[in-house]
Amino acid sequence: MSFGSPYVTLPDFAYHRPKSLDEALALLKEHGEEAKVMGGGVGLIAFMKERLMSPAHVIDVKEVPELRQVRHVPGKGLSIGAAVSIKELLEGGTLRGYAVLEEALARVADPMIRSRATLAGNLCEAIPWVDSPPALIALGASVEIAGTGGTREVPVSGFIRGPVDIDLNPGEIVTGIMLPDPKGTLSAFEKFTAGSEFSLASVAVALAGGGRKRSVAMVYGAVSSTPVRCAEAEQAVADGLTPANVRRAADMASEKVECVDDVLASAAYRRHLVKVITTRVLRRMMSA
Amino acid sequence: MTADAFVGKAVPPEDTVRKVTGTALYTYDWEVPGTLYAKLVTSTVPHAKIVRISLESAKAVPGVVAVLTGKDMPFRVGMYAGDRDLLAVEKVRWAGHPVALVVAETLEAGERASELVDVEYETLPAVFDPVKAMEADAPLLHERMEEYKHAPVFYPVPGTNIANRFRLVHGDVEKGFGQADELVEEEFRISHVSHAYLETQNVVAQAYRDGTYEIWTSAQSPFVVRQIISESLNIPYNKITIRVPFVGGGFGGKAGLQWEALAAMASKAVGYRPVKLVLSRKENFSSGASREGVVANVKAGFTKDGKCVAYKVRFVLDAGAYADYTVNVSRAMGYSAEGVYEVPNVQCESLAVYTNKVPTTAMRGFGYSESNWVLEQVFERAAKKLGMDSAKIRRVNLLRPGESHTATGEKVREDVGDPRKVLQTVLEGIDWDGKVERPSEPWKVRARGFALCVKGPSQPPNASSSAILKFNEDSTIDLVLGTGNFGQGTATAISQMVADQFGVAVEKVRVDPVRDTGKSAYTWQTVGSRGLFTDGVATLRACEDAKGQILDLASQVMRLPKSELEVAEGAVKAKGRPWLSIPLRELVFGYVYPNGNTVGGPVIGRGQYTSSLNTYLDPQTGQGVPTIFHTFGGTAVDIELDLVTGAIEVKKAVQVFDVGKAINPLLLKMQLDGGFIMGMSIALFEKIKFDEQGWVMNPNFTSYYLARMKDVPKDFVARYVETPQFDGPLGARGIGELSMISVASAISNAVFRSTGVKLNNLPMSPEEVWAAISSQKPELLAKAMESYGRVETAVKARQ
Repeated sequence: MSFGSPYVTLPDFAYHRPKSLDEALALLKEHGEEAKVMGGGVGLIAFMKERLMSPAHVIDVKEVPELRQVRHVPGKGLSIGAAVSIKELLEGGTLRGYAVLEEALARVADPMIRSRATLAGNLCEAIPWVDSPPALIALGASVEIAGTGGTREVPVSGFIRGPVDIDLNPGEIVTGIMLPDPKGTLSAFEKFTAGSEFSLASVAVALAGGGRKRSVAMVYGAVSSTPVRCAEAEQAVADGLTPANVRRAADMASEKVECVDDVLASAAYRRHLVKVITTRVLRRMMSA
Repeated sequence: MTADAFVGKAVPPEDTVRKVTGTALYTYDWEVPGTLYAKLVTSTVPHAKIVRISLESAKAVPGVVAVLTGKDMPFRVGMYAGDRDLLAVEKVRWAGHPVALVVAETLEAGERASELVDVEYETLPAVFDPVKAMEADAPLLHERMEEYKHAPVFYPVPGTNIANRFRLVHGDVEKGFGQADELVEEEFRISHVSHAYLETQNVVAQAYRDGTYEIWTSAQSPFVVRQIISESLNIPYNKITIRVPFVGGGFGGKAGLQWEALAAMASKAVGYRPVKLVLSRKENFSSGASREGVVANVKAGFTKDGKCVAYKVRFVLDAGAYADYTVNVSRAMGYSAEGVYEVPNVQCESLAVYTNKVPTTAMRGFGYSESNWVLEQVFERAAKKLGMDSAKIRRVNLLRPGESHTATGEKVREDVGDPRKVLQTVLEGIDWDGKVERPSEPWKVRARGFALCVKGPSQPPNASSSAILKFNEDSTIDLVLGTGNFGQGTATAISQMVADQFGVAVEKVRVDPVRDTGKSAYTWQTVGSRGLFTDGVATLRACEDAKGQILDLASQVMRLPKSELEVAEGAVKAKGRPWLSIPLRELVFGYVYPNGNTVGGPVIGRGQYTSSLNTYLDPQTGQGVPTIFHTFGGTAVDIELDLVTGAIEVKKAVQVFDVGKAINPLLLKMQLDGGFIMGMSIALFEKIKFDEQGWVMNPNFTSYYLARMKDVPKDFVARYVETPQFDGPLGARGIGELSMISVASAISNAVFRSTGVKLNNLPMSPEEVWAAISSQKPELLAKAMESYGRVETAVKARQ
């Protein structure tokens, strides 16, 4: 992972703009590893400028109608097409019930980028400092993938394998993100940034069910190479959001969540921030 | 138009329309037919001998015209230290050092080929810490330093990494410490920062077969670019034309030579075709120059009544691989050590030291910002130790115009400004004696602090300026200036002065946006906040010259003695008999009698300015007169510190400067606001981070943080004091750089006053502040975390 590019130009590539999913898949089949799918292009073009990726074929899916939809699938949840922009998602209460994702997306970069970037793209970039992956993992979201051989669905938690490393094979395309029915899930997102849109630490929390069936997900982003859940912190608030539990969760998270040193922050500061944002997010949820 | 119709008025900058409509042209827009595109190939190692460079594969890329190396242009170039190469010769000195230049028909081909240049290195030991670089066994960056052409006021130490050693001695500092009741001893550090101009460095150069060169460049000082190329490459001055169109920001980073000589030599090497070189932001960070880092060690002695009796400081500048301009920064940092105070005993050493990092250069503030970061905090720390109000300790020590001497032994004239009035205005602006507002949250601290500053231009004593004023047929004026125009609005302010000199509308005065060494009036450089002062005086003299010519002619035509005539309201009038007048239009292109006889001709006024007051500084003691003016000023802030995250938010900013005369209050306010934001950005956010090999790790603006709109304080107070300077243009002094100098110190002082936490390192990023609180006042952080985590009412999760 690097920042910035010595290059001013992009590597040579052929540009395709399919009008249907079948056409997109045919192009992917034809070009295999030589092809990359582009949504908003926010991540891909930066990667291409840095020569982290030099696809000979760029397949722009912004006009693929199947990928432009947001659909409620009865019994499953909300399916968000891969080419839907973050700005579109934030409009009209689409994400009602998914507060954690709404809050995360509302603070992605700036309005100009949000009107270009897609949720699927934000996820597929798989860079550590972006905001949507922890929120999606907390909600138990999965990635809908189509290939010429059919479709498959993988949980977001397994989809991100490492920095800029995702579970997507040549010839496959992410068609959408499936958010399970919220069913009264209480959720929230917090992040701390020090001067740019990239988080130094973020946390996504989702509380579902009640009583013995209560489930808690606390997912930390930007602190290490991939989003990480913290079972100990989840355990600490499993029997309810009380001041003592919140404090214990914050302490546990700060102790257990693996934090790394990188160019943006030290591990020690990140550990402290984990405590701060855990406290903040849970306290906010208590008073919700 | 009356004689004061425009001076003192808020005239919008003359280039606004072009900028907001996107029609302002920059160097990047310059597309000459047949242009070739250049691409740098840079070193991957910090310090190494070049064993072999293989160019074959790069040259084989279709479209590549040439691949050049240091052997093709083995010149040593520079202005003050003369230590630079155009491309690495024999060895590389930092990771990012250009070793080759690919020149191709397209940028795509050039970039592809740049990956194929294979350089074999023999690694040398490297040094990244400037203090370690001064040790006897440190690896040497410049083995042949004694051969470099240093300007006379610099003192390199050949055989070491010290590019310049400036010394200042005033009184007897040890004796002073003997008189002190309290001592303040600290180490301060300042990070490398980027100028972060929007337009990265770029140049278009063409060599011609007749031996001439034309160069378009995004530069602050075209005449100095010409000077360096001419002197270093032995080309007569008049064979080189430097053209500077609109410039997308400079902040000192484009003050000296950038890539102009390289592009010119490349153009010659490829058979006299134009060559364009544009740096990406990453290249600008890792191969261009930044502001130096500093390690400062200070010891100051104060008596019980607050008098600073001794001040001893050593600045070590992390100058990087080339210190061509930074040697002068070290000099300025040294002689500005004492700031706005009169201290009887001062000892200062300021060393520019080579390290295997990016080269460094001038930046807005030019050493004064760095010395201010040390001095103004020392005074705050002393105030606390002495239990004295921050304002009182300053009043005790402030320079007294008409009585005091500066650290360099210069008598402070009565007309240089009024530091006491500045201080008073700063205190009023922030309501110093009023109650501090309550913080928005119990784990936050609301606090106020301030700092004072002073600065003048760091220029050679013989630095001069000139202006040419040409009347057109309709009596409009083309004012020919050399001073650069990259956002300051100097041309607008000077045009206002010209308009009033002739009693015409300011719209009648035009300054061409392009600076051209062949056509513009000479000015040494556009740096150091000198433009309005030096080029302003030159312009007023050009106005006088033109008026003299006009009055001579009018005297002849009107048959009245010259002494009875005056230029006013766009005409020549007989004093006391305004009905006897001739419009300028009938005079400035010659007066035509009814029968066609014509006397006179096109009027061209000329003026120049060179200070007769400046001197070199004594090599042992640093005594002398280094600058043409001192602008006094100060900054106060009202901040909120989040103890839990370490984040500092500026709620209110107060900026006060004694500008002598506010020629254009609108531009002045823009400078004060803009300078505050830049100063705040450097104070709170900006830091170039290096890895263990000296590579810049954060060469873009998602990882190199800059202040953004949300960080700008809502409450901005910009005030000015007007103590006219006898030799300034209409009494004015420079302001451009000043407005950012005391910002960081003011913020840090606010934190220290309220919490006792010392923030000695720039930037005061949240992490840095958190680390300082954690180590210095853990109980403060624990208490804040306690209140942060306190939740009174538990709300059950929604089922």
